[in-house]
Amino acid sequence: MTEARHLSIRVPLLARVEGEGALDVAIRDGAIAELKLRIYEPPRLFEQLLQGRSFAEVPDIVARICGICPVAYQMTAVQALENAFGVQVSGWAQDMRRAMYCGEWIQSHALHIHLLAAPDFLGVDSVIALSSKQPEAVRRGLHLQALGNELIELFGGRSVHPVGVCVGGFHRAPHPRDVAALVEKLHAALPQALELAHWTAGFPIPDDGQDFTCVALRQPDRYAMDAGRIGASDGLEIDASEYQAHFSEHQVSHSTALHSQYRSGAYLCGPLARLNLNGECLPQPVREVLEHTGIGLPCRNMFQSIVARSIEIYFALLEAIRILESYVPSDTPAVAVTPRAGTGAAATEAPRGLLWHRYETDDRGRILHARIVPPTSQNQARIEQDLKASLEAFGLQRPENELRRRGEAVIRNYDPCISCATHFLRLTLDRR
Amino acid sequence: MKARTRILGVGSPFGDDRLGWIAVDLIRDSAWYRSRAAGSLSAQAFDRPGPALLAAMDGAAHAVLIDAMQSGAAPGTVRKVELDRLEISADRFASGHSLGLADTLILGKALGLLPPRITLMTVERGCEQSQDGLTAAVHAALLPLLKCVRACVNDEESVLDRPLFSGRPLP
Repeated sequence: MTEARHLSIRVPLLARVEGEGALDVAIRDGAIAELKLRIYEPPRLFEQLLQGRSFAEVPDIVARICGICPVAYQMTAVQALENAFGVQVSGWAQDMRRAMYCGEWIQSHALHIHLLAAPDFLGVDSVIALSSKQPEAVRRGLHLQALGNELIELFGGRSVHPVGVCVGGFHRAPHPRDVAALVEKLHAALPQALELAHWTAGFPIPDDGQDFTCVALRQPDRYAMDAGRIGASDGLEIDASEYQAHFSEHQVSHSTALHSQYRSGAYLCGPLARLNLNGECLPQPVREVLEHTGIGLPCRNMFQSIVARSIEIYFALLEAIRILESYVPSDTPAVAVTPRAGTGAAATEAPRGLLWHRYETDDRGRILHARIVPPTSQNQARIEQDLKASLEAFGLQRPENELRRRGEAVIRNYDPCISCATHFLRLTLDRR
Repeated sequence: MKARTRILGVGSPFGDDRLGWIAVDLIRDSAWYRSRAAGSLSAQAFDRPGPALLAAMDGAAHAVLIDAMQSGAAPGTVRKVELDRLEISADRFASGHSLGLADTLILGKALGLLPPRITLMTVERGCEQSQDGLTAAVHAALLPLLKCVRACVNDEESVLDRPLFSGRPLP
């Protein structure tokens, strides 16, 4: 007869995640009685900080929300404000914004795969230990990350908290010589991205299929990134301005990040949700790589997220090349903006998933009210749901250190950015 | 053309952590820096270490890293720390947001990405942190620090593996 097991697991500080959080799990009689993903970073109050500021200051302020995905915050903010002011940016600016966004996907995904997630699959504790076992793979990852940063710098002047984006377009157009030099580097990196996709597809991926709702931007003619309508795997398709009618945020006592819900339930956003909803929109060369990795869509195994990220790196390289190969600078990188009293919302696909902004402005374009819903807030309830199912499937009778490692790996599948979401992991396991 | 010798100041806008930035500004403004042959020396400020710092050292023959430090020494103490004296455990690695200078150097060493010569120049930060600027002890250490950097770059033998300037506690 198996002895009833009561255990309390506490992971007081989650490592290899962006920001600070903790996980508390209470196991009673062999079942999870309570599970809390605690996000205890203090609220950063960016939405309040924006109030009273000029619309022109918003792109530079929201870039400070995250050092990893500042482009996502900028792109979402400027589009929400352009919607509020009735501004239509040029096709040139739309294309260049998408190219810049590709840079952020490449650098963020490369950082997450190599520095944070890959050690989970390869039996090492850190990228430093991984560097001893597979130095070529880590060098490749760092090279791709640096290349993504270069793409951001091309348009933003610098990769961390870039400054090139403005409401209406860009402050300046890059020189064709600089664009051509970068396109050459992007071409040269394609074989590395292919190797990366095959490398991650060869990882020992746990078999952990689950049922969940996917939410991502959708566009009929392309893999949505910088624009689109919000779609869900149950058929929802709405404009960003309708977000609040379908998605809600609520506070939980154990987290300084709000929990988002869709139709009163948890949902997934991020690379795997994007692949599930938009896989058919990928260019043929990327679909061939996807097929070679063996991921069948829709994919219900969150551990395949690391492969999804590598697929998206390959896509982002190809997409940036497509846009920039025929680059011609614009004499008017930004259209004139006349502020007005209004309300505007927009959503884009940050590397971690859907990012939604909404602003209300006065007649001089000053921010009266701001709402920012980052992807980690949206994934929090799904992470808790996944943790419960994954740990039970893994076996709650396992030693505490194994449960802790599995719990951390599950969380890292989502690449949570706690610093962005506060408004992340220490594991506390209470087993009695 | 990328410079063979690169001075890299790491810091943030806050208090004594700004040291690396201020040192780089002073170096770039100096006649000594301007007198160097074009392309032989560069000085650059970084808002965080991490993979970008490894990329910044790529292809260099000598990297001089300047950063504020907290070791328990007297505030303002200037030191040259050898890479092999830095200790780090793998489980300290936390996130892409918090990859520290030591972590970055250990990672770079494991990957064989470090220049043949790295000199880490540090100044012990003050006890009281100011949001506005350097504390008096760290400010007083700037001139000795810059002399040490210059001597180091000039391959003068005055750069020793010991405290180079003993800072004094604030009165």
